[in-house]
Amino acid sequence: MTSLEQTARRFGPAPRAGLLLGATITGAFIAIAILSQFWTPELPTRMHIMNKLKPPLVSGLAGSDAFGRDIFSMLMVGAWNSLSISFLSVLLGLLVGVALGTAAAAVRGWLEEAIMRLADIVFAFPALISAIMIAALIGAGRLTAVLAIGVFAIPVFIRVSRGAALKIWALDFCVAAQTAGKGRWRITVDHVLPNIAGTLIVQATIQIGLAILVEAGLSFLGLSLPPPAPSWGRMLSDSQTYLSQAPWMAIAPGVTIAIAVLGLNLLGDGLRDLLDPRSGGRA
Amino acid sequence: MTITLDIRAIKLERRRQAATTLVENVAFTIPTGATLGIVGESGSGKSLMALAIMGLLPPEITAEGRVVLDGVDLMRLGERQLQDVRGARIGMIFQEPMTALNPAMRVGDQIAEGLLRHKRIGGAGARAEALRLLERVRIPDAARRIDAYPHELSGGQRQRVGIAIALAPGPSLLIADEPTTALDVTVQAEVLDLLGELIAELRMSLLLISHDLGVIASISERTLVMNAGKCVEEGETEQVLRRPADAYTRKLIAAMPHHARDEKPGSASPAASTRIEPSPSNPVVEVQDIESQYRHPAGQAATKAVDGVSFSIAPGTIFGIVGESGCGKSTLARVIMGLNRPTRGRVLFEGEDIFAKSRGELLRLRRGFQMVFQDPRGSLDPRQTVGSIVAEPLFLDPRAPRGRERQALIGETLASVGLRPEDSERRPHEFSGGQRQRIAIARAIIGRPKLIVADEPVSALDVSVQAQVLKLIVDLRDRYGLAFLFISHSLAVVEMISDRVGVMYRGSFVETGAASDVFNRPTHPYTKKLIDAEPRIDQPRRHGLAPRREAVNFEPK
Repeated sequence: MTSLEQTARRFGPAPRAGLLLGATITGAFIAIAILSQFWTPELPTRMHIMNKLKPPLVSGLAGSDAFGRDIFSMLMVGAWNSLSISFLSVLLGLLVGVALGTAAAAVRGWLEEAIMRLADIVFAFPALISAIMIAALIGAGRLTAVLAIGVFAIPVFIRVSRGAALKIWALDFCVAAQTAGKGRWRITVDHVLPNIAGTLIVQATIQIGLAILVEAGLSFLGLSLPPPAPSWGRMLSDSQTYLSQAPWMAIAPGVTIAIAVLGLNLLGDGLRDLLDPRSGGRA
Repeated sequence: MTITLDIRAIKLERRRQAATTLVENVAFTIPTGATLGIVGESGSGKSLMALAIMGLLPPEITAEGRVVLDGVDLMRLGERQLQDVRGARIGMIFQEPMTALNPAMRVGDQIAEGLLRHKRIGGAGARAEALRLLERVRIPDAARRIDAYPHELSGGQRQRVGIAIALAPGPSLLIADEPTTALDVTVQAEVLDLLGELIAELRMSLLLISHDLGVIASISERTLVMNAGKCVEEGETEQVLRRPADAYTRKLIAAMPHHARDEKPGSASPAASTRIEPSPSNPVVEVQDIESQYRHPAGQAATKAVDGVSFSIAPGTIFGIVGESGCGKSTLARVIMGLNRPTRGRVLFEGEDIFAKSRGELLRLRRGFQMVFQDPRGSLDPRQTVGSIVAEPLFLDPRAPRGRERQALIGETLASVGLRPEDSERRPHEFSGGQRQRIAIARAIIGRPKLIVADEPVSALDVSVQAQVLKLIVDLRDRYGLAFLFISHSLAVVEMISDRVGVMYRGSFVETGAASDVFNRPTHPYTKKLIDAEPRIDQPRRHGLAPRREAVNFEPK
């Protein structure tokens, strides 16, 4: 009783190359971020005024900036700062967002309305505005960035997890669980969460990529880690004045951000395919 | 117009994998005005034939052979030339009228689309032609419906629009892939009738693809039976059905739910001799005057999905409910399961009113009745192992065995539905549709319930698998004295399996009684209409070129 559409869909290629590439890039960035806490080619904060604005390979792998600091070392430490802020903020958004989103799907009614309208309100504030507000309260720094980006991620996860959870709730095995005497929370834990995990992991990886961009924007504006702690966004902002003299100062962090985001997106897409138990991969 | 198809092979080629042959050596010819039915179970490759003719196979799938339409081999044509053939020379009707139509486009425009593409005709002319076609496919009030969107039409009307779209450019061959599978049986009969009338009137050829032998028998002159990518038998429909030459065809015919109508009553139950006689004790469940209303969110109007239904089920018997979509049978099932609260009436389970109970008491009662669902894909959690799925009803049961004993019980239950105890480690996607339905049945019976509510449990299954699952249900009734509420849209299935039946129409029972009485001597006109509409293989062809009376002695050209 298959329709043509289903017949056509049954045979599709399953490319794993993207997943491998994404995992490699992401893994490399994490490794570099961890390594940067123990070793960098140069101290990223040490200034060599005599050695300023040297192009790549003349001084270090990626050249030096206006203070003669080694850009490659700064990128390495910047990876730690950017990734830790992005991961933590997305984790915050994920935990709060999924809790609220699955609760909305499980209870329905007024609670769902309240949660979704709350998500709409939070969603209306761009991350930058909430970051400025939080920075005004507690000052710029790592916590400000994590909170600002995390709060910005909460409504995304509320919407994604509610939508995915509603789809699962509509399936017969949730009715079967109800007839077995399971309550809403039990069904959420036993059936809904495992089945929406794939969607959430994909959303989380993509959201981390987005968080890296937002973090770069925040540090560009000086709302994230204060100097001299290196960050990708501030390296970009510092490069503006020297764009014609030392383009590598902009290109190096720019390309780094692009590759990191690309890696996370590839990883996210690949994971989605892999985590689907029907595609033959094991969750 | 003559189309000759000679497919040597249809192969699936994936990178770094050996090519899989999906279809092998299928050849047939359809002359002008002839009808051919291809019948086969899912995965037999029958839909691939339609795609191959239209040149619409997905890129990884290649066909070898010839598709000759009036001397031109379609497989040698380029994409542009094929576009002139599709629609204009070969029209196509799809299974799902909802997804085959563009939901954002008025139906008149969708019909005119093909006319404007393939014919020299202006906008006004195309609209007039579209109107004529809508009237031809008997859409009521066509002048107004021409500007309707697909969602404003019923399923049967949508399929009529689908036919009108296929007819619009004036093709000489129609390919219909499961055109009535998504429709109710009475609507199906009307659509098949229309299809037959049109091909006779317009001298078109028809290639009908279906899993349903009854549908094929009611309209096609010749029948081709496919199994696992091979053509096992081809011949005149009468002959294929009455004197099947191939073992698979015989198996397929035997698996069709039989009507006990011509046999003596009571013989419907295959295991009648070993059956535990139902004791004349109190009913397992008694449904008293249930009414269930839906209130529309916008207005004040309320619709009664179920309106005053009463019946009771004795232990060890199967009560069948038959009705078409929207008649309220699934709502009734949910009410009986205690999932929806009725607006009026009571459900007594072993004498206790389930809606008068507290939550805790209801949970205790619920262990006595379980449910089996239609779609075995949606009813099993893909993330869980079969073992934990089957054991789910033991949750909250304080007397349920734990640890090793529970494993033994799971294994034993799987064995009793015809699976292996080792299967408990595997996950649902590793099983076929029929096996998944067995898993769902195992889950329903593990807690030794008294009643199982089965809502369309075999509708998503192939006919041979369906026969096995039905046999399992009868077997469980006889072995454990289980009572079943068996809900289905299929008369034949309900008639074959039920002890008592209720015929449901618009929320109420129009007729109830012993299965043999209701189907042998229907009193209500709706029951009669249902019985008439059901496609059967023991009747001559009813639609198309040679109507009923001539069908038996039909001579091929």
